[in-house]
Amino acid sequence: MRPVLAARITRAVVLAAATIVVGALAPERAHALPPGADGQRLRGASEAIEDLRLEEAAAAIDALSAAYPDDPDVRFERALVRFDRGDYQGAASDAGASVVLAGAIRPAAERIELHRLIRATRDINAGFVEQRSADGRYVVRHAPGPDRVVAQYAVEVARAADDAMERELGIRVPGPIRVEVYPTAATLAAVSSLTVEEIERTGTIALSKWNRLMITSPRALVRGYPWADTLGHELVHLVLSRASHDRAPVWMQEGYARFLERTWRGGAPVLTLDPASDRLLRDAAREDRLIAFDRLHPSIAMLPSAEDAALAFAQVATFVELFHAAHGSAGLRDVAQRVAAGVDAREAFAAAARRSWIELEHDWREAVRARPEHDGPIPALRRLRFRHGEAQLDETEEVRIAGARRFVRLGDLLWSRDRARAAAVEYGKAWSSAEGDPIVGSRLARAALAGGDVDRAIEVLVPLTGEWPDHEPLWSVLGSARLARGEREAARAASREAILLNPFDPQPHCDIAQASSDATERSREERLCEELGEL
Amino acid sequence: VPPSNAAPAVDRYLARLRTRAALFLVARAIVAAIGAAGLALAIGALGAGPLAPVWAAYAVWVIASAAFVTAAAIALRPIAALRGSGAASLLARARADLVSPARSAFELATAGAGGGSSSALIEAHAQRLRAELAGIAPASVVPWRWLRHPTALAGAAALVAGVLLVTVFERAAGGAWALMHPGGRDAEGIPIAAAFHDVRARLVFPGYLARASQSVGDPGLIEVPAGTTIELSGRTRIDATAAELEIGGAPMRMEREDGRWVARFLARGDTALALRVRGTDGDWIRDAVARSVHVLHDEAPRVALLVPAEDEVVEGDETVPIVYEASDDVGIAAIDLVVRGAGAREQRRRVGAPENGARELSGDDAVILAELGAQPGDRIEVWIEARDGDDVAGPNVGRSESRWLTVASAATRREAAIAELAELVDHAIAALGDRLERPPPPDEPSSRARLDALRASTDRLVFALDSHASHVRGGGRRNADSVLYSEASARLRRLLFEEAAAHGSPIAPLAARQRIDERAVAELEDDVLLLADLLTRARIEDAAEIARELEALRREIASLLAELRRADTPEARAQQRLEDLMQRMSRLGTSVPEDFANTQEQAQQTADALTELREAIERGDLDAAQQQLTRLEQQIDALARALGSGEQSFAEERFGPRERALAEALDRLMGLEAEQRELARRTGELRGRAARRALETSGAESADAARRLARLPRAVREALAPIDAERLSTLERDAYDAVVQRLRDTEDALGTGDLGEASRMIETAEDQLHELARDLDLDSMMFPGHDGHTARAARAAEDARHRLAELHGDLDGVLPDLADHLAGGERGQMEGDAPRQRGARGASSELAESFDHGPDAMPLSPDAATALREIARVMDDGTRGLERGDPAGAARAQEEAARRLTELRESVEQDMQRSAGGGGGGDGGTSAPDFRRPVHIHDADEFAGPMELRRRLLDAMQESAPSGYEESVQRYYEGLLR
Repeated sequence: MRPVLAARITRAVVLAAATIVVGALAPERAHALPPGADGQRLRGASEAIEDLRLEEAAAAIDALSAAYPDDPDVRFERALVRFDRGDYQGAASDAGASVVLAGAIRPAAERIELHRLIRATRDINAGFVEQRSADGRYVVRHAPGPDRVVAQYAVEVARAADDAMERELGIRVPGPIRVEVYPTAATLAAVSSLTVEEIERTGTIALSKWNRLMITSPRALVRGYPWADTLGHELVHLVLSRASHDRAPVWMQEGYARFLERTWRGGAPVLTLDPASDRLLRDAAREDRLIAFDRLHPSIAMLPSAEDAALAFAQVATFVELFHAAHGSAGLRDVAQRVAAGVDAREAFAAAARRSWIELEHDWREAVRARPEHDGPIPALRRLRFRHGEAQLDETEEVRIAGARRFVRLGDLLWSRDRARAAAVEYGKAWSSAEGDPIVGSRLARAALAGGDVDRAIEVLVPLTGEWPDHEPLWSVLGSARLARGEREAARAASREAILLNPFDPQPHCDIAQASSDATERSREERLCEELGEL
Repeated sequence: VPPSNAAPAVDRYLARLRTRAALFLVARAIVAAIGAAGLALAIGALGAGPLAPVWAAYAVWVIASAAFVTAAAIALRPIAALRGSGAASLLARARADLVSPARSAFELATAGAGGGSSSALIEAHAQRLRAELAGIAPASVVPWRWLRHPTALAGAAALVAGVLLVTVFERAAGGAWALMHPGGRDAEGIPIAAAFHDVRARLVFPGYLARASQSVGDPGLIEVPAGTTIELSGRTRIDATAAELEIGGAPMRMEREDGRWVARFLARGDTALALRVRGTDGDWIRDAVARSVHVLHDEAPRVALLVPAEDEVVEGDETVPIVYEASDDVGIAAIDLVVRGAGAREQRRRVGAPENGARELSGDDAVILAELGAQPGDRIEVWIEARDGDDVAGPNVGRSESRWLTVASAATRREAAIAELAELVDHAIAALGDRLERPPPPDEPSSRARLDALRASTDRLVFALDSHASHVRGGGRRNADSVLYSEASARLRRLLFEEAAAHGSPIAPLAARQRIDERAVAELEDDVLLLADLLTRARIEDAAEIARELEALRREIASLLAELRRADTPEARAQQRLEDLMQRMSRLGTSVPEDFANTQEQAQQTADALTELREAIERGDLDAAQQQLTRLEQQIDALARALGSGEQSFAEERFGPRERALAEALDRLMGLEAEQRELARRTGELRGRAARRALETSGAESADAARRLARLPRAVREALAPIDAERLSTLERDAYDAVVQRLRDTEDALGTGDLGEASRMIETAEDQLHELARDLDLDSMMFPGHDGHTARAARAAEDARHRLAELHGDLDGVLPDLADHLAGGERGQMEGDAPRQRGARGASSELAESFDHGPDAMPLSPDAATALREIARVMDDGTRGLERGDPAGAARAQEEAARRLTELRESVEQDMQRSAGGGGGGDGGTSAPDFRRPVHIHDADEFAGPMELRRRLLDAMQESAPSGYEESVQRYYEGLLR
């Protein structure tokens, strides 16, 4: 039996048992809703919670709580409001006191699952610390320790992404915007409805739910991941959910998020599909294997494979890209407003475009088929590699060309004995048979740089960063190489890309500390360089 | 008349005379006054005595003061005459004629010209007088003898008298102190007086110091070694009825001996001393003199352990030399070698006891840790202790620095091997790195310089490879791997030779040198990867072995815990053993190689569980201990699983093809062995039949030959002597008795000249001995027995079997030519077997090739290949014997070939077992547990089943197998038993 199946069965059995218990107790101890109009107000507040009209819900619940402090339904709904506001202790207290007794608003199974989530969130967040922006609008909570490095940058990224959403969608959600950085995939799974297996399989390592953004720390992965763009992605979800009263379907959500996730960096939104995803999309279109948009519910994370998830992302992103190309940001805003008003997403797109959905979909399929072929060999689909334990991981096995592995290993052995020039020779042999491999390339560049051959390092790295923009070592070494050549601004840019993938690598911090002309930034990066170097 | 300085000069002269005379007078007055006062005080002290009342003291002081003043006044009386011009009178002693002129000059000068005198005259007078006085020194006018004036002499005499009085009369001396300290009392109000005199301390030193006693007069501070007996005695200046010595405030009564008061005490520490007496009036009086004792403590000896100079890993039975040196301020009484083993038990041995208490000493000794009960893996602390002879404060003990001796164990050997292998990897990487960083240059001088530079690192690698190959071969570990190292070394040597040749004169073209360099780089790359793989494998195996050892220890702890539970009172030895085991386990628990960072945490958990186990046992909570043991079991299981899976997957990935090739070769070797045994059996039986026929026709000639061989069966029986029949199982003992009986029968038959009977008896004995040897061999694999006695018995049986085979050969030699006694069918059988034997020979050669050329062109085992080629030559002899129709020669060669094949097969099997990380029986060896299985503590009854199965299998093996399948069936049974 697969572990994930076993886990689901176990969870289902527990849930069923709990439901029976709750059901058995409920008739004896259940209370009626607050009488009359108050009961209606409670129902309305509950619906507002579902629609993410949280401020409206909070006002109603606060009033009802004053009048009916012990009513279990009121308390359970108040638990949800508190949960959405980040008051996990209060939410757990309310939910714990009412999970068995409440019954008029939500079914028992839902209450139990929510109660579990609230408690797990409270327990895991209990030891967290937080960093806030000066205005208090952005709050990043994280486990004490190295994740403070992520949190420092996360505040900046959240602010930039927030501004970008206002720019692109004309929406500014009420604050504070809360970001929680979870140290492992397991902790993220504990506070969400995902399993660790689903997270690792589909690479869904961040979530936007319950009015907050949850990301996995880049240190949970071997080489980090684009955590900053992921944060931008999740913020799009948060904004769109609030703006559409959570009525946007998953495919629309993911399409907007994937298309707008990098807008926090500034400039007009541009979709960058990695070559592997692009290839997947074109192949699927040619072979008529595109996934129906409706199949993406309830989450792309629940698709059976990483390839399906990548294809789904590529589909929805290119659809939104095409729509944006024709109708601009105003078109995207229009669709969001229509969906918020209760219009079906497909109809909303069609109405905004003043064409039928079938025409829109047809145009998109044609556009996908017409996408230009990628030059050169297609790299493998990028997979996130999660860290298990503290051991140093051998990346050699990830080199796709078997013949190159031998030389990579030799290079590693030489590198570990401070024989950089000799290592560069061996990496060079590996490169000759596995040119384009990011692992080989980053090591070759690193050794070449250490051996004094800066030009060779840059020559190898520049094309690789285009092919493998998420491979942190490439950016890290490129930053060092640019710095060695005196190209300070380019060095800073490359090193910053590395930090946006893996802020725990000390080298980019050390390089920015030298390359930056901003005294504040220099000071911060010097400190991080020192701190991370000691870890 | 201008002013002159003549008159003032005269005045100054007179002033000098006046001053000198005054000083002398004062001196005389002081002496007189002191003398008078001193005499008065002395007389007063004599009169007042040591216990002088205060009023008497003051009265004496008044009298003395009056005497002082009176004497001074008398002595100073002439000083008045020296005032003014009176000083001129002093000139009378030198120049009486100048007294008047001098006085005139003084007075004229004082009066001045206004007095009506002529200034010129005054000046002239003064000048004349000055001229006169210039020749008269003041010392001649007032000479030193002025001090010998009667007043001074009287004063001095009085002073001497006073001093004499005080010195001679003790009463005066005591009185003098009383006068100086009128009414003196101590803090308790006891009067203080100079009550004692002639105080002496006699010092009797501790015997171990061997110093003569010593007396000290009037001691104030007595400095003595601790333990010195001090006899303090003195006389009193007053009539005393009792005396006491206060030692640190505690009174000690003094005895009267020969007019002296005496007290004796032992100096133990620093203390104040006070004497006091009780006068006739019953009041106590404290002696005025403060005294004290300062004890000089004997310092502990200083010891240095020179050898071993640092912590070492030693074999249990190795003689570890110990060299030390010690010194002491007084003398060394004894030197001990102290060894502290597991469980903090100390064992000490006297290694030096100088008779004369030498102050400096050096010596050596040796220790064999196994004799002290140390087990492999134990960490033993060793140090030297030196004691002095201080029998007062107890002997002072000096201790050297400790050295930690770790008893060599499988673990330490593995660690050493891994360290050696890691060094080898470093050498290989260095050699490769050097070469890669220096590509061949085009010009000759640079190329030669490069060659020299590269040789150093490459030579180091070659040497290290050879050395490691030798260690691997000699250490009995992974013999099959030794070839990997030696082959790599050989290849590198060849390349180095080629490279050196290319740098001869003239130097080879660049292209040729580059080709050689490319080959060398490729070779070094292969070597680096191979060595790195071997190192990783060794580390994984080491970690897995640690897990196995942990499991073995855990089982033993579980057994001891069960023992403690059963016993009403904990058995001390069991507890001690438990402690030993836990200590070893705690060391193992954290020694997982650092490469396995993921398992490091598990190792820590193991150590934590162990700590809790220890605490539970210490507080006697056996239930909690059992729970912790269960937890420990889970930890070890998890650790072992992680390591075990890593071991398997890595070995399969990196060494799978080689291991598989080795297994395949072994399989073919087994087949070849079976074939050769069958061939040997057929020819052997044929030879037996021919021999019997030959004997029937040989008659008296063969009888003489038989008698000459009669003593040989005894040698075979003696070879069986190491087998203790009492320890054998019933079946084995039956077989043993039968063999011995057949050998006696053989001896008897040979003695009577009956070669035929002897031949039959030998054949029977051979069969039975073969069975016995095989049974014992299997037993030794499963139950090595105490001190490996089963293994020794198995070796003895095998040795006897060889001797019996030789005897059989000798017997065949004296038999008539068997070829003449072959039946027709038998000759045909031999002719038919000859091609079969040639086939086996060919298979042997092919197998030798397989052992010589493994995967990746790396030999599997050159030793096995060599052995197979030798076996092939023996098979040739067998083939020739068959072709010639020589059954004796053919059988001998075939049996020898079969025997060698068996030996080779066992050797390869053992090597593969080692490769697989498994243990085996043998000389006291321990069978490694299967740590991946859940652990079950067996009751004694639970062994009944397996034992019965084993017994039935052994019995079944006695049954005959279908023809042609004998060897296969036998190996099957052996496999089951294993």
